[in-house]
Amino acid sequence: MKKILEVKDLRVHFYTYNGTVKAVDGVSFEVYEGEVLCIVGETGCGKSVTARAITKMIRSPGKIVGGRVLFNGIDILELDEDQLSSIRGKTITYVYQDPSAALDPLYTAGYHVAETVTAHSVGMRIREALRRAVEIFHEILIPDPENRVKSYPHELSGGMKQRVVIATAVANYPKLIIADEPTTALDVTIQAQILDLLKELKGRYGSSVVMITHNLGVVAEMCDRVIVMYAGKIVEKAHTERLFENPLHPYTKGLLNAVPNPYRKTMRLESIPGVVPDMINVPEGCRFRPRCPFATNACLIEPELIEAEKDHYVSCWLTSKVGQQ
Amino acid sequence: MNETILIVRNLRKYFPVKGIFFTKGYIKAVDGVTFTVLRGSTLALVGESGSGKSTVGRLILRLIEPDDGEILFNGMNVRKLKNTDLLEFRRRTAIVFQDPYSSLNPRMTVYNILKEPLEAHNIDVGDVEEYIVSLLERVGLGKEHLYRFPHEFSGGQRQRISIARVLALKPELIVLDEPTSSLDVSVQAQILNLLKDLQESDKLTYLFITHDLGVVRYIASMVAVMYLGKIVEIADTDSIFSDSRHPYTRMLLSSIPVPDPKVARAREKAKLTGEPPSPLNPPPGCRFHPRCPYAMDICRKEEPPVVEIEKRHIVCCHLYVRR
Ligand SMILES: Nc1ncnc2c1ncn2[C@@H]1O[C@H](COP(=O)(O)OP(=O)(O)OP(=O)(O)O)[C@@H](O)[C@H]1O
Ligand SMILES: Nc1ncnc2c1ncn2[C@@H]1O[C@H](COP(=O)(O)OP(=O)(O)OP(=O)(O)O)[C@@H](O)[C@H]1O
Ligand SMILES: [Mg+2]
Ligand SMILES: [Mg+2]
Repeated sequence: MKKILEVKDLRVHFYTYNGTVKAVDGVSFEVYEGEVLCIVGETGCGKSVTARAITKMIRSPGKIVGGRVLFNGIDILELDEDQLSSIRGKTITYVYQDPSAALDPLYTAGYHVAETVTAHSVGMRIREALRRAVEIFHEILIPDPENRVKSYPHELSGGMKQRVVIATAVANYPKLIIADEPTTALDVTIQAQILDLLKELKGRYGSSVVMITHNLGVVAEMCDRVIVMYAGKIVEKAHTERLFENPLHPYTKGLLNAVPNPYRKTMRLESIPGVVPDMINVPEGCRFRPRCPFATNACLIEPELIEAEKDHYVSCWLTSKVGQQ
Repeated sequence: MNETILIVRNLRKYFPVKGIFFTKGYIKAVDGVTFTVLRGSTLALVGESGSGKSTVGRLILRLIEPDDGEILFNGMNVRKLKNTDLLEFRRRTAIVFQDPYSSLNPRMTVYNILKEPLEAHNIDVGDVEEYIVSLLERVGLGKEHLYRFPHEFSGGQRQRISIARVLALKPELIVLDEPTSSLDVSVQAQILNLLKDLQESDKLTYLFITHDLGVVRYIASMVAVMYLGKIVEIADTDSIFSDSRHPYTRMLLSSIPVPDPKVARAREKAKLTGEPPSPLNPPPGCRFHPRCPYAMDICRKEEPPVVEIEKRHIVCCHLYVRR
């Protein structure tokens, strides 16, 4: 399979009054053509910052202090604003949690789509682009597309607004769609419809999807591969089935045991003791060490992400040692 | 053991929607809700946003007044309670909200937050500090947290403080309105386990409002599914998951993302269509009919009757009426 994006040793820091937040601290991964890759982890672990850094959308007090983001052989982090804006909205697009914030209340649903289309195709007029908008609405199953393009955001439900945002995201046949918690604000039955839609996009538009979520159910339903983040780092990376079947990092195991499964009666949930570390004073060595039931002195040194079995990476001394034996 | 603590019959609450000059209409937030809760059990109230779950919770605690219906708590008619009886009812019931950030006064120390309900109800617990420390210990906190302020705690710890405050008055019935929805899964698991332990040791009864069906499976004994102000199905938790009858319950069940790729990819899914209509003008007949794949003529005209499928399993749907 072809790699379309390669993130190498990405580092993003925020320089705050209280100290430096190492929000993303040496993150590497790749996205293959046509896949859905999930980034999962608890609040504050750096998922959104990673997503935004991919197209260099980090504002002060944040700064990308290291790493490379290779897209079609070029390093996005080396590009200037003009070059970046020809990528954003065209080849790499975003869908965020709150669709209301993404839509301008003064413009119709169709105009939002038409505008992105014209912005990236020279000489196309808005009339033509509006016709394209109707087409896209039709493709992504917005009912009554001819009239819907004329609706203003406030006339649409939350689920419908998110469909409009997705329509703008796919309008230019992007290579990569980055969806940051796209269904968190929606009701479950609507959430399921949006997830189905996102799954279909890769077939219809040939796009890969990076899906950011804290919901392991969404991961299981949607994703081909998963990255588990903890405190600014990747702790595990694997194919979805494999991660659920054979989680290797104690944090991943903890997360999987903590989620109540509707299809299984559980007598007692296992919970991970303690809380996520303060990102200014992260624990020395393995960041999960203070909460880890298996921590030893070895964990005072930071483990590397190693391939424990084929395509299954983990950063934990437990696995490294087992591997050596 | 099977002692009834709460009976709710035909509860109704309409909120007026005001136009410029006159009332434009009513949101039928809760429209004829009936259920029973056994002491020491957990009834989960599930349904989509706006279906009326929180309104039911607030009505039965008399935080808002119903327009119609009956609420019996330990045999007492809650709507008629006055003065000391009402105060006593307030002591024996409690509510925990979703957002642990806004439900604690930021300017009060934990000690004062926990002392407040004792003073409001004039309760003599002997040594107040000792009692408060014992409350904190029950929710997994300790003496060292007494004189700290809410902002010094994590979300999960704040929810523990809210729970400690509720426990202070030794209530019998607690309404939990999405108590873990704003928490991370690892913290949610801690709080759910705590709630389970407290229920066991104190014989607490919970009305648990949530839209997370995984949480329901873990904590509930019975489940009531709401749709646009009405309960469409009530049953034992296991029956809801293995033998649900209402088309909406089935749609809800196939919508939840299951944290297990094998199950998620193998299971059969009910067809998902449409969105919940506005509660201002709910559809006539069965409120679910515009989204229902099995809708018949009668569903568009007549409200569905209550059908008892078996003991303790009730569904409101024309499909199950024997003709
Ligand atoms: N503008 C900012 N200033 C200071 N710190 C920031 C800023 N933006 C993000 N951070 C910090 O960076 C870290 C990672 O944040 P990020 O938003 O990526 O988390 P996340 O994994 O997306 O969490 P969530 O699940 O809550 O969305 C957090 O510790 C956060 O406090
Ligand atoms: N005080 C109020 N005034 C007017 N309308 C109200 C009021 N409280 C609730 N409503 C309306 O009543 C309906 C039911 O609301 P309720 O908060 O009970 O729903 P819910 O099931 O708890 O939803 P959610 O899952 O979003 O919390 C909604 O349409 C809501 O807008
Ligand atoms: Mg985020
Ligand atoms: Mg509510």
